[in-house]
Amino acid sequence: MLDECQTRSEKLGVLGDVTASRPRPQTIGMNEDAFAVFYERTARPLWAYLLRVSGDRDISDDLFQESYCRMLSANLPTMDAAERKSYLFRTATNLLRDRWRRGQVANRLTAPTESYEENVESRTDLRRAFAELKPRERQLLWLAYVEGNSHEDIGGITGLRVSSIRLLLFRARKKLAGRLLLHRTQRSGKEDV
Amino acid sequence: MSRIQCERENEVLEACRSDLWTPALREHVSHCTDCGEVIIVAGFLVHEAEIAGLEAHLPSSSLIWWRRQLAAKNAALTRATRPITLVTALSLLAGALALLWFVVEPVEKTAAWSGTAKSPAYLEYLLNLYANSTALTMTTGTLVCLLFGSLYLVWRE
Repeated sequence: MLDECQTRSEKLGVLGDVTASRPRPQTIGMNEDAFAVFYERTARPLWAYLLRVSGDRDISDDLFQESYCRMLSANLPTMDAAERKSYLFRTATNLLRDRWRRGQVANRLTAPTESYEENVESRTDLRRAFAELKPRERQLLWLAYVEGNSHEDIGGITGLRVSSIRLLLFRARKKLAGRLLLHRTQRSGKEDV
Repeated sequence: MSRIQCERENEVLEACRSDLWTPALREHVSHCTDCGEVIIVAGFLVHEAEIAGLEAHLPSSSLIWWRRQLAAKNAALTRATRPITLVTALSLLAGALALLWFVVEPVEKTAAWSGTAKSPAYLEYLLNLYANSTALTMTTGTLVCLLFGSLYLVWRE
């Protein structure tokens, strides 16, 4: 009877603790070691994306863990590292979008004051320029210029059409570049005075 | 249609990220407004990413893995106990209906009773009523519920 219960529980995955004698469980073609490698490669970029696009450290922490858990839980075909990373960012983007819809992430952010940089004041001004963009614009710029994704990849992550991305990215870049240049001009003007 | 992207934008972006510039690319950037904007924007964002990387306090991968395993176990537990929950709910529903029937039916039947309600004959009448019809029907109903419940559990397994 005991044996029968144990067998059924293990079959259902209810009790089966991972022990050294058993093979480690696999998810989306990954065991724990492979996941550790993948995590090492993607954790900081993902966290930076979530932090800079959401502007909120707590939300970034929540969504960061949630993104990995969802990716691991998803019943996906075998993927290479680039596809997995793309899927991870897509999951994070969808979670961010859900938060925006629920109003938990502000559309216009206040620039964070904390920084590891020496010139905090200048950096805060620059961040404000970025924070004043729309969430979609921040996402597109980050995915294109930090992550180096192609328009097709960005389309896969955000769900937008490639033709739209081209235009939206162009406008977002113009807007941010204009603000950064304005800041630079004002800054140099102050220094001259 | 107006041109909204320079053909060499990707090259410039790659150079921004790697800080490896060819003389030809430098020459191109000095004339191209689009690429000039790319340098400004990419330079700012890449630097932001570096700072964010320094600020990050990330959990270990084993913690995430463990959390996912825990969630999977909870999901499996929920799946495993779903038939039990379902059969329990059905049993409660069947019990509630039977109780309702148990109370309502004698009231209806005794409406036609002409004698005194407290007389022994009335009690005997009620006992016969339950023994002959209601109890039989309830027993049959219970057995049918058990049969379907068991079949469902077998099917789930």
